[in-house]
Amino acid sequence: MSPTPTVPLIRIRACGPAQDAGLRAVWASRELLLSFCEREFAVRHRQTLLGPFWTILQPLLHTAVFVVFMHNFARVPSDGAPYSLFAYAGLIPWLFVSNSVQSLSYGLMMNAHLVTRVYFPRLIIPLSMILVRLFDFGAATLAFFVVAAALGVSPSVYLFLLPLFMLHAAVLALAVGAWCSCLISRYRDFGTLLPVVLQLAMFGSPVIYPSSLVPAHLRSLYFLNPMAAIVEAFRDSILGRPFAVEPWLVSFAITIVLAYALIRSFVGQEQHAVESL
Amino acid sequence: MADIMIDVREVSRDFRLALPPGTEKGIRQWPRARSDIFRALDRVSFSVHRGEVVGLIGRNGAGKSTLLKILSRVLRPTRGEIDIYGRLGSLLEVGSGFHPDLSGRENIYLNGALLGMRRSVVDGLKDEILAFAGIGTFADEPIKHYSSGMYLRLAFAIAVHLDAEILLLDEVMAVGDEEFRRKCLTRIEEACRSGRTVLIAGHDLATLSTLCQRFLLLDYGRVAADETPENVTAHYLRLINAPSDRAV
Repeated sequence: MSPTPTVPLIRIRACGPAQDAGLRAVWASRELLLSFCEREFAVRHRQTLLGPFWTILQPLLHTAVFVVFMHNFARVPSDGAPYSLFAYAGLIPWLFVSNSVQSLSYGLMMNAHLVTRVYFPRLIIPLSMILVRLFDFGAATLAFFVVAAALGVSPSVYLFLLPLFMLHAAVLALAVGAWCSCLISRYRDFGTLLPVVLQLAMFGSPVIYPSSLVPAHLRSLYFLNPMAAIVEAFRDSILGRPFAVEPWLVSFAITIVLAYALIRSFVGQEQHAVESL
Repeated sequence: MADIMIDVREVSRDFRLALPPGTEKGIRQWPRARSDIFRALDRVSFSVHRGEVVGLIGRNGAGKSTLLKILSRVLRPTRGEIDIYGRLGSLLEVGSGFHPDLSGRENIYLNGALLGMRRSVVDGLKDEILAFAGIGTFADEPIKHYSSGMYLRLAFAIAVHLDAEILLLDEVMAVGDEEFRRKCLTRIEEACRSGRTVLIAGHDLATLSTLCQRFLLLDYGRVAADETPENVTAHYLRLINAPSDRAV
């Protein structure tokens, strides 16, 4: 047995954030994070018929819907690219973020049986979920290259930045999803509200229409939505088009500030949220 | 006396009770109506030294589980402070870290990680755990197909193989058949004798007094007695035989 340390290993206090709930604690519990990722990975396609193919199929089905309604009926332009590829390339990052925020926001509730019985840094739950979904995001992107190559579209020189854009999307989804999970644990109202907000955010981002449709005087306002530049940058780099750096940099800065604030807020109120489960 | 492992100072915990039926709920009651407060723990102070095995007893609703939950950091105290000087493993409810879709073997890793065991340690222990639980050929079966007995045995097998310096146990003696129960008790006795610090909550006074050197009696959220098992047992028996002095 090791000698008793003079400084307590664990301090329990009535207020303030838990002593070890932030990123440093997550690093200390990285083996648990790995176990959660394995669990998430192992059970995510259980009891489905098509299993991992849904990762590829879901954006394709969405694309089909928008091709019919936005392209054939509404005649939405697509900046020169074939509309189907245009929408497909926008839907991949959008669906990643939107699906992730949706499922992360139920993370604490889905793990209620764990978090009400064992202590561990709760941030591990959303983090493991986003890591596994990031893997799916990569698979969906690879599938896109196959389709694009078949249609004769080659990616741009900015392709090497793609991992950065994907990571950018993941950080945003992690922060928003984690924060929503605290909110939904306490007030279920937000579970009903969230899909509406996400739908609004989709129409507020250039997913199924190009940002060139946005009037020039509203553009700086438009790009305050961090998702707008992420979708645009992702699409430009895989469709082989010039990529606008400035909106993306603004979005990146907004994402960092937002993520910092939301994760801090999560760490500060996770215990409170868990007690209301 | 040896070094202090758990130091609990003036810990209280309040719970807000549900509003009585008929009061307006949801947004209409906000922000005025405030529900009553139930004090589950009331200025509890005690400390546990290295190697001590302490039995936590008390009537239903005395605050035993609340105290264990606060010590394992699932709940926070409303007031007061606790310092813990060692790695802590808690088993508040059997099988709490299990995922129904994972196999027994996969769950050993998940559960071990949740309880703070290193992966390399679990690697070395998993066969012993499976053997202790007597799961046999079901090790790779999803545990949602386990019988409730198998489920409990696996959970307990993991818990008794924990290498934490401080163990928190709640009512864990009540699992499985007589044979498994005896096996668990032997294991707990070993853990107690190995110099680990143990806090066990339960109602089985006979079993607890064979394990513990000290009983902590909680009543209405307060420490009612804290000394040798014999003396505290007598105190406790007087309590439960006395007419109730407070409506719960």
